[in-house]
Amino acid sequence: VILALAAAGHAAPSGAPAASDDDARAAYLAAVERWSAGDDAVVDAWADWIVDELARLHDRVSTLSAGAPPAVLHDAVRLHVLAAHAASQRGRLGPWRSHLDLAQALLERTGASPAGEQSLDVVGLRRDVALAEGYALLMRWQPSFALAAFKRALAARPDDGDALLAAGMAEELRVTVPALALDRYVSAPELINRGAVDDLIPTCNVQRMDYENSLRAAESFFKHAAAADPALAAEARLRLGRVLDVAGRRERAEREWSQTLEGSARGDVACLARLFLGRAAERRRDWRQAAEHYRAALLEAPGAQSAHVALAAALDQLGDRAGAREHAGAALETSHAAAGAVDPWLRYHYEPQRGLSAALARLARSAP
Amino acid sequence: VTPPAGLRWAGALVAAALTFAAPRAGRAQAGAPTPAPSVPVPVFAAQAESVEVDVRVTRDGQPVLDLSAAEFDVRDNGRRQPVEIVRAGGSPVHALLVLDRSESMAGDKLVQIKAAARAFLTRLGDGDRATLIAFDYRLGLVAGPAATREAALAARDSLRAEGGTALHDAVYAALTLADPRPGRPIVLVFSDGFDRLSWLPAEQVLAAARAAHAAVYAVQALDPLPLHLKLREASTRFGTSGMLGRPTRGRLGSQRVAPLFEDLARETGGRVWQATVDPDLERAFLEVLADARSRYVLRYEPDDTTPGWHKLEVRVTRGRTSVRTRRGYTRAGTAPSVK
Repeated sequence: VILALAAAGHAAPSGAPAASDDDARAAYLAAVERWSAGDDAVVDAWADWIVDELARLHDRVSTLSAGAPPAVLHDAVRLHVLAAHAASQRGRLGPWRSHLDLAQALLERTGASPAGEQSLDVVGLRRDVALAEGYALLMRWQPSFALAAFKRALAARPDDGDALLAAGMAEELRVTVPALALDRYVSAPELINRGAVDDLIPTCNVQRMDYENSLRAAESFFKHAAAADPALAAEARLRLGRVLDVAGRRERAEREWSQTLEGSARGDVACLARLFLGRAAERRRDWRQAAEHYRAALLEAPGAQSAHVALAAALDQLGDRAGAREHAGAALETSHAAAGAVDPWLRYHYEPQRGLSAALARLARSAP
Repeated sequence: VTPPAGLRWAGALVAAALTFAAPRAGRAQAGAPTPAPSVPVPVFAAQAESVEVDVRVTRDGQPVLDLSAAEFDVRDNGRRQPVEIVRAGGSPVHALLVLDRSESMAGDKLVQIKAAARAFLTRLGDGDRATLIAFDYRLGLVAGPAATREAALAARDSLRAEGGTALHDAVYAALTLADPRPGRPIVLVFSDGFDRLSWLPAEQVLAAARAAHAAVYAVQALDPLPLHLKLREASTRFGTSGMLGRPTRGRLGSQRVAPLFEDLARETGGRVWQATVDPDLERAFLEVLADARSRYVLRYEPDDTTPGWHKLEVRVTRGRTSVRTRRGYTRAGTAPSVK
């Protein structure tokens, strides 16, 4: 980027060799080619270089890029998007966040592709960069910052199903996450399961309103996501049910989960709907029905540790000690039988990872 | 099973954990379960009429092991029960070690926990058995159930730290698998004590503890980071101090014992230790073993076999002694409430 900007006359790094526009382009393309060929050294060099040097120059790049030719900015965006994708593939969270930050800053300063240039979908890139950044923040359980990123994605494409679902997840997490940071007796997911959201909601009226607003906003985002993208409807309904449950609207919540199952939901989503319905049955002290839901959950996700544990506990309550032991034992075995498999309950909390991967893949495709 | 594409990048919170292989290796080394010795099968199942209770009696901190049955005053739901002494110390032990290998235990803590576990396991006798359960957000049977000391020691080496914390689910599994036939079961939990990703709420774990045979001991790993700094860090991370919620009494200042550990120990007659550094940790583990070995096992036929909660009171008529035992037990057939 420095070379490219220098070539365009916008930067003159001290000690750098004089570079023409062609030199910068050639260097960039050579690097991309080596990266495409799987040259890990290039990826590492890029990541280290970007983090150690370029990220520190973020402000400078932003300043210098003002007024730079679109072609240079587009190339810079491509560079950062590709580098972000490469770094993410190698599990380097810091570097690719820096790349996305830089891409975001540059995208805000660039317009449509100039005539004769390879088309760059600026709107799509803005959306995907924002989504990727938001997912990354969500995975670090920083929902407030993630929400801001998702709102940027929605500003680029207001009816985008992924962005709507992600924004709902951020609002959902704003309510459920805080207790995770504290030395509390119970975890936030547990509080939510028990419907004991009062334990999470602060007594201060302003903060309480903040929580209630988040629940309402999450509800709205999930409803819109379900309407915007049929492929996301099952998961949106599942999460809508949880938000309603947290808000104390338990009958509505159960209806949403039941409707999730009446649709085409299978696998993890169906397993989770069964788990939530089982928990609801437990609250009514209907252990038999709870056990039925948990058995059905295991049919959807046979290796699900959470479903085995849930079923064991339900069988315990029914006096079936042998059954409880069998399923407690199975819960301990699932990580051997399906090493690499992810429990649906865990996936519920870490869903952003899939969104992140998808967004990064789209970014890589859109920045050839 | 191939991890989904989205979970491959190793820097992520969960993806790193997907490379998990330790329990598999450990399990292979653990070998087949050893046949259980013929110890009477107690206790709290509805079909069993007799009840066996672990009791530890001390005077000035030292165990008292020369009591006669007549010196015990055991009351089940307030009614005195004639008891016999099944054993006075020295019972074979079935130790279920529940070890936290979540990300927060990485580095020195994991090294120390492995050393402490080794010290514990090497002091098991030939007749003792061990079950090793390791957990992050997943549960894994590292050795056992009821493996020999050697198998458990070999499997211990495979532990490594990663992922979140499903403490409740892990303790529940241990309690459910606390088979008394290989020896008096004790569950030894090592963790910072705070759950992150379990499915089960704490109430269900406590309910299982009340119905289980095992005494629960907990060694709580203390975090050197002062709590007020953790709170400040959390506030920064979430971008709003308002999200921290109302403060819990006594949270600031010294690190308190995790309430779940307190409750489990109280309900089952176990104990809680807090430890930060290697010598503390190893000492705590060995004290657990010494504690478990210096217990009486009392047996009685209750005249009230009603399903549900039975309050248990144990006193010793000999003076100046302290008695520790479980608060009661649940006879199968009832369902403790879950809020």
